[in-house]
Amino acid sequence: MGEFHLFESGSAVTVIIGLWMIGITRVPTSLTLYGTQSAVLGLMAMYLGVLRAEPLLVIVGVAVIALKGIAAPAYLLFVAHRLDCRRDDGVSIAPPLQFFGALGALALILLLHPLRAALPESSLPSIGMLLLGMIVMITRRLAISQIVGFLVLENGIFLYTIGQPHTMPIVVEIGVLMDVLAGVMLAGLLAFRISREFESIDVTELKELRG
Amino acid sequence: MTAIVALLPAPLLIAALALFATRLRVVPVLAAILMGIQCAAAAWAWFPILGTPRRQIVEGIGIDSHGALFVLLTTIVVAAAFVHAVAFFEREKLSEHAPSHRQIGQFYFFASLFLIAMYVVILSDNLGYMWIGMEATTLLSAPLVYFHRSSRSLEATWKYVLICSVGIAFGFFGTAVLYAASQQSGALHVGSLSLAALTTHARQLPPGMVRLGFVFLLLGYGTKAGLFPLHNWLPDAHSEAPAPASAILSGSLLNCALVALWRISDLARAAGQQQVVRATLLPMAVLTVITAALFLLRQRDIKRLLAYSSMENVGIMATAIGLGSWSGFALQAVNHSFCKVAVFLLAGNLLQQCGTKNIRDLRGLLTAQPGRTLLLMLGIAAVAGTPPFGSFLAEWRILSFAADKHMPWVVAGLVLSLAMAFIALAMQSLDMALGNKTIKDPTNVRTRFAVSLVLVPVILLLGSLALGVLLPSSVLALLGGGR
Repeated sequence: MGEFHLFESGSAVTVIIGLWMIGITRVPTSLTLYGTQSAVLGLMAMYLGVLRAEPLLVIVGVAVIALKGIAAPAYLLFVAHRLDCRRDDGVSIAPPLQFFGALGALALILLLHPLRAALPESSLPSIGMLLLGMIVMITRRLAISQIVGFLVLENGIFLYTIGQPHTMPIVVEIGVLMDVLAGVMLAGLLAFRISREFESIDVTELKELRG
Repeated sequence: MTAIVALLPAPLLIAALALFATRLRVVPVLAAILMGIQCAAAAWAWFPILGTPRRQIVEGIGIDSHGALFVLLTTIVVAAAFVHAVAFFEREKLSEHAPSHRQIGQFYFFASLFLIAMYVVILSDNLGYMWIGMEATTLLSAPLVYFHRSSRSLEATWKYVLICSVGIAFGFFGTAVLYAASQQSGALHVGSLSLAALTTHARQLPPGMVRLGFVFLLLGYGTKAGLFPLHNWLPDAHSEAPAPASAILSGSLLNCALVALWRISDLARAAGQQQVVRATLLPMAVLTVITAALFLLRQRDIKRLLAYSSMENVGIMATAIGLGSWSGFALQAVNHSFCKVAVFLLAGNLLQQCGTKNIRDLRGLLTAQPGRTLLLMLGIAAVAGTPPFGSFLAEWRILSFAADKHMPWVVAGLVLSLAMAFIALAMQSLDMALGNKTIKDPTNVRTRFAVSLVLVPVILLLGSLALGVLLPSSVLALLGGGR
C-alpha cells in the first residue's frame, strides 16, 4: 500500500469514527471511540514513519497510541465511572439530527473546498475533524464530553501535521502531547470538583459569573 | 547563554521550597527575597540586551531587544506580586476562608513555574516552543485562579482552561499551517518553525498559507490575550483569582500573548501580508476597546471593573501591534503593567478589609480609609490614561501613529471608546469613594495604615508617573525606539 493510499484510507477511518461519536450519547462508548481514533492516528504515524524512514515519527506514533489511545481515555473512563455519568443527553437537538447536520457540514466542506489555495484536498479530513470536535463541544452538556470534543479537535490537528511531507520536530510533537495530557488531567480534576460543588457535571449549570 | 541561565535558579528554588516545605511559614518571605534577587539578576543580564538586534543563542531560543524588555517587565511584575503577597497572605489568614499552608504553598509552586513558562513564550524563536509555553501558562495559572476553592472560582477556572485550551488549539493549527508553508518554499524545504528563518524567507512562503496560518494563530493567541469576541473567560478568571494572581495574570500573562501576536504579525508583514493583519487584528482590537468600555459602564464589581479595564488596554496594545508600532505597544505595556498591578493589589487590600467587591457596598470609602482610597483612585486614573501618567503618552503615540497611517476609523473608534472608558472608570471610582455611606461600621474597616500593604503599589505608580514625566524620548530609545 502506497503512502498516499494509506494516508487517505486512514484519514477516512478517523473521520468516520469522529462522525460516529456525534450520534453517541453514552459517555464510555464515546471515550472508547476516541481511544480507537487516536490509536488509528498513532498507527498511521508509525506506518508513515517506516515508509519515509523517519524513526522519530515512529516514536511519536507509539507515544500517541500509549498516551492518547490508552492513557487519556482510561483516565477519563475512570473519572466518568467515579462520577457515575453514563449518558450525556446533550442540548435540545436530538442526536440523529446532530448526526445528519454534521454529515451535511462535512459534505459541504468536501464539495465547496474552501481556501483551495492554502489547503490541498488531502488536508480536508483534518478540517472536518476540527469541525466535528467543535460540534461535540457545542452539543454536549457534561464536562467530560467537552474534554472529549477538545481532544477530537486536537486529533484533527495531529492528522494535519502528519499529512505534511515532513512532520514537526519531535520535541514539538512530544511537548504538545505532554501539554494536552496535562490539560486532560487538570480538566478531569476540575470535573471532580464541579461534581462535588454543583452535584452534577453539567456545565450549563455554571452560570454564576456574567456581565 | 548566561542571560537565560540567570533567569532560572530563583523560580526553580521557589518551586522546590513550596513543594517540599509546605509547612514552613517563611515560604512567602523567602519567595519574596528570591524574587528580589531574580529582579537584580534579570536587570544585570538583560538590561544590556535592550536595544540590540536579534540573535539566536540556542536552537529555538532567540534574544533581542523586544524579548529583553518583556523579560524585565514580567520579572518586575511577578516580583511585585510576590513581595506584596507576604503581607497579603498574612492578612488573608485572618479572614473567614483562611487559606491553608498547603494552599499557599501551591500558589508559590505554580506561580514560579508559571513565570518560567512565560519566559519560554517571550524568548522562543520557534513557533512550536512558543505554543507549548503558551499552553503551559494556561495549565500552570489555572490553580492560581482556583485559589479560593469556591464555586465561583471553580466556574472561572473551568471556563479559563476550556476556552483558552480550545483557542490555543486553533493556534497550533496555525503553527502547523505555517510549517507546511515553509516546506513549499525553496530554501526551507524540510520545514522550519523558526521565526528567524521564516521571516528571512517570508517572501518565498505561499501567501495563501501565510494568511491562513496567521488567522488561526491570531484566533489562538488572541483568545489568550482576551481579544473580542474571544474574551469571555478574562473578566471571570482575573476577578476570581486572589489579588497577587490577578496582578500577574493582568500585568504579565496578557503581555506574553501580545508579544506572541507581535511576533506573528511581524512575520505576516515580512511576507508582504500587512493587509491581512490590518483586516483582522485591527478591527478585533478596536472592537475589544469598545466592548470593554461598554462593560465598564455597567460593572458593579470592583475586580471585574479592573479586569474589563485590562481588556480595554489589551485592545489598545493590539491596535499598536496591528499598526506595527513597537514603541506604542511597548510603552503602553510597561505603563499598563505597572498601574494595573498596583491597582489590583490595592483592590485586594480593600476586599480583605471590607469583605465585599461590590462597588455599591463600598460607597463612602474615602471617609473610612482616606489614604488607601486616594491611592486606588490615583491608580485607576493612571490606568485610564490620565496625564501625567505614562499611559497617556503611550495612547497618544498610538493614536497619532494611526492618524499618520490614514486610518480614521481606528482613530475615531479608539478616541470614542477611550473617552467612554475614562468616564466610566471616573464615575465608578467616584461613586465608590464619595457616594452615600453604605459601609456599616467604618470603625471596623478603619485599620492601621500598614506600610507593607501599600509599599509595592506606591512604587509601581511612581514608576508609571516617572515614565510619563521624565524624558520619554530617552525611554523610547531604550524600548527599541523606531516605529
